[in-house]
Amino acid sequence: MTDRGTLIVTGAAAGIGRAIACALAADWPRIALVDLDAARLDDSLAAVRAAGAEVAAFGADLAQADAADSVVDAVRRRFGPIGGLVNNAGILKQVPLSDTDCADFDLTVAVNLRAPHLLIRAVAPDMIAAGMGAIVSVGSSAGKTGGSSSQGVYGMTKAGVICLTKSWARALAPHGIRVNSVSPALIATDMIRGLEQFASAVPLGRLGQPGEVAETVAFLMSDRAGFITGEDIDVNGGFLMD
Amino acid sequence: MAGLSDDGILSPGLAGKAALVTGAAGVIGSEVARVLAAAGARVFLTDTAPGPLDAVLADLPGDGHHAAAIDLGSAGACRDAVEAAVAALGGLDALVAVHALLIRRDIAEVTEAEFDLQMAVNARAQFFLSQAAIPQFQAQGGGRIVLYSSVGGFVGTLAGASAYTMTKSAALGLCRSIARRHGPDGITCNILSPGSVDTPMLRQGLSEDDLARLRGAIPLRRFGTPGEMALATLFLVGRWGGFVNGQVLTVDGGASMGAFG
Repeated sequence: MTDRGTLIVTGAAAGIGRAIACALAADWPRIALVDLDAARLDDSLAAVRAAGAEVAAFGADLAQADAADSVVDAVRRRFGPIGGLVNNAGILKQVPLSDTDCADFDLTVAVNLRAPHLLIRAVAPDMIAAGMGAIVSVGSSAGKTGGSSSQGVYGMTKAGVICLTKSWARALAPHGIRVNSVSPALIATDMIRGLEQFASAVPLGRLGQPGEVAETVAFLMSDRAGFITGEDIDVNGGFLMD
Repeated sequence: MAGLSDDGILSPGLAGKAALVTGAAGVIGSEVARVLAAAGARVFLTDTAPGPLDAVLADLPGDGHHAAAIDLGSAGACRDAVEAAVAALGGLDALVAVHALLIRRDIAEVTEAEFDLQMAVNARAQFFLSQAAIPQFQAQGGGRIVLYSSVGGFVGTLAGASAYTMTKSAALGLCRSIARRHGPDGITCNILSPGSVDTPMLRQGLSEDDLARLRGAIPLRRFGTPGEMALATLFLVGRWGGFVNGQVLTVDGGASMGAFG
């Protein structure tokens, strides 16, 4: 199999991010797991290692403007050129819009939207040099519906992720690099604790599993999706059909 | 890991499953049949003419496949196709409606007969195939439906395909109605929306200049391959797509993202 380079997965300490890293371990021999605190990545490291990949943990506070370049440099020094990126890290602060202050707003935008942009910008030169690469960013149905009244800024950043995906897809397509997003909703993770009652609003009648999002990401990251770029796949059991 | 089965991420979980593929003698349909068969499914193939269909059947990996020449232009024929597939395969787990008819004609020149024929073969057949398959899926506790549409069905087309394009838009309403109504039955329904794939249907009536212009408008700067449509279909039919329901999977190299390609 062609060596596709190193894969970076952000927000890999738990939930969907860990499931993504595990799902991609079969396709990517070297995987860098990124989260706020490298010490929190121990369980994910063990899970990905068990799945067969060479893996290492990197701590990065993606709210900081220089974090993307720093962590990509560190990964490159450890594992060599980057061939894949999954922008999964995100924060959701459940704050009514009327109470959302400047700090909340800026933090959510910095982590959910600015960091994916800066990470793509940081890894793109490796992919351009290789003439190939795959990038998937995790959006959300909230990016299309606005989410609940306490998710306004989160939803706004996720709408931005979906748009950012298309812009980067257009910019990188001539280099054979594909850029896509997935938009989950009602996945059984800590982020949606308390929302279990909404399972009845899902046509499939249940919450989704992190592994089901991961499998969709794995598809988009693989050559099986070779003609798919600039696309968003909803993984929501039919909760939102748009 | 929740949602990941023990047999590994790369397994589509289709071993022994039964799938009906329409338009299976075509360039895309035959590739869909081959990929599903290679993934372990048993496939029932239909198309209009028996000769090419038999050639595809003979070429499929694995055993237990069947084929029948059926013209899906009537509701009765759609029911017959599903019944024949269920009988031959001993059940049905997936319906993949790939078949379509394109009569390239400018809007001003489309006749009523041409319009009705494309509507019947494309849109009406997707409806009645689904209608026939759903009770079988319900009896089995679930199933997958993939309806082939076309990017043109969402953004419109220029090159004399208005009636065809309209039939492809119709797939969306059907898809989402099935997804809502029968999601609780464990049935998913999604649309596979190819962009420009290098097939005889794409080339029909187009000059090399037309084709070059089309290709130049695709961000990846190439046409898609039938294999790429088939693998995207496999995603929706296999266990990877289990929580994807009522969605449109666009496989077009980025062509329909919008302007400024």
